Amino acid sequence: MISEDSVRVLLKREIAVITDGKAETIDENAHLADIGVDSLQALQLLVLLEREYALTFEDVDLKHFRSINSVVSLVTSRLSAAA
Amino acid sequence: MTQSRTNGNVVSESHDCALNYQEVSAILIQRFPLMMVDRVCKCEPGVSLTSIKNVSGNDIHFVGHFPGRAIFPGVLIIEAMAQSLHILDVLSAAPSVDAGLTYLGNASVRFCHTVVPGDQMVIKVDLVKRSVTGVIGNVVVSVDTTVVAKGELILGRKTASDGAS
Repeated sequence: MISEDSVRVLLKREIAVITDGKAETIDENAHLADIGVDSLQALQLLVLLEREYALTFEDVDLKHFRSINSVVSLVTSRLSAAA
Repeated sequence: MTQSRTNGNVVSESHDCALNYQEVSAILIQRFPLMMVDRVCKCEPGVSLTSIKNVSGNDIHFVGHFPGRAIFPGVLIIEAMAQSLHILDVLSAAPSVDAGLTYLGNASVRFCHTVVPGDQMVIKVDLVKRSVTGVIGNVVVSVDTTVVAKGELILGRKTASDGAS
C-alpha cells in the first residue's frame, strides 16, 4: 500500500530538483506556480507519477495540479480506485 | 508495409502516413535554413514517428561549423528532434483540433557521435505524453545503425487562443 507520505516525499524531492530548492522548505499548500513549477514542469511531474505508480492521467487531471497536497490527493484517490 | 534501404539505413515505410517534403512543409513553420525534417517515413499517430534528415556538405551551417572540418551542429540535431516530435504531435491531434504552435520547453539530450556531410539522420520519436499544455517524447537519432543522439524533449503548446499568430 502506497502512503500519502511517500507520494508527498517523491513530489517534494522532484520539485526541489526542478526549482533548485530544498525539499524540506517547500510549502505543501502553496500553488505550484508560486513555488516555481511552470505548466511544462507540471506535465513532467504528471509523467513521473504515471511511471512511478503505473497510473494514467488525462488532461482534466491537470486541474488538480495546484499544490503538492492536491496532487497527493489525486494520486492516492486513483491508487485506491485501482486497488 | 514496405521497406527501403537508403544510405545504409533500413527504413520501414507505412505509406498511409508517410509524408514527403511538401507535406512536411505544410506542417512545419520553419523554412531554410532551419527546416530539419526532409521526410516522414512512418507514423503511427499518438504512438511514434520515424523521419529523415539528409545532411549535405552544401548546408549553410558548415560555413562556420567548422571551417575546414564540417560537423553538423548539435543544436540542429535537437531542432530535428523537436520538429519530428512536433509533426507527431500534429498528426496525433484530432482533425478538428488545432494542435497549435509548439516551442521547445526542455531537452535532455546525450550526443554519442558526430554527424557529418553525407550522413542521413533517422529520427525515431516515441510519444510519452500529449496534453493541453504540451507534449513529451523520447527521441533517438541514428546514422546507419549508430545512435548519434538520444534524449527526452518537452514541447510547450501555444494555441490561437493564447494569442499566437
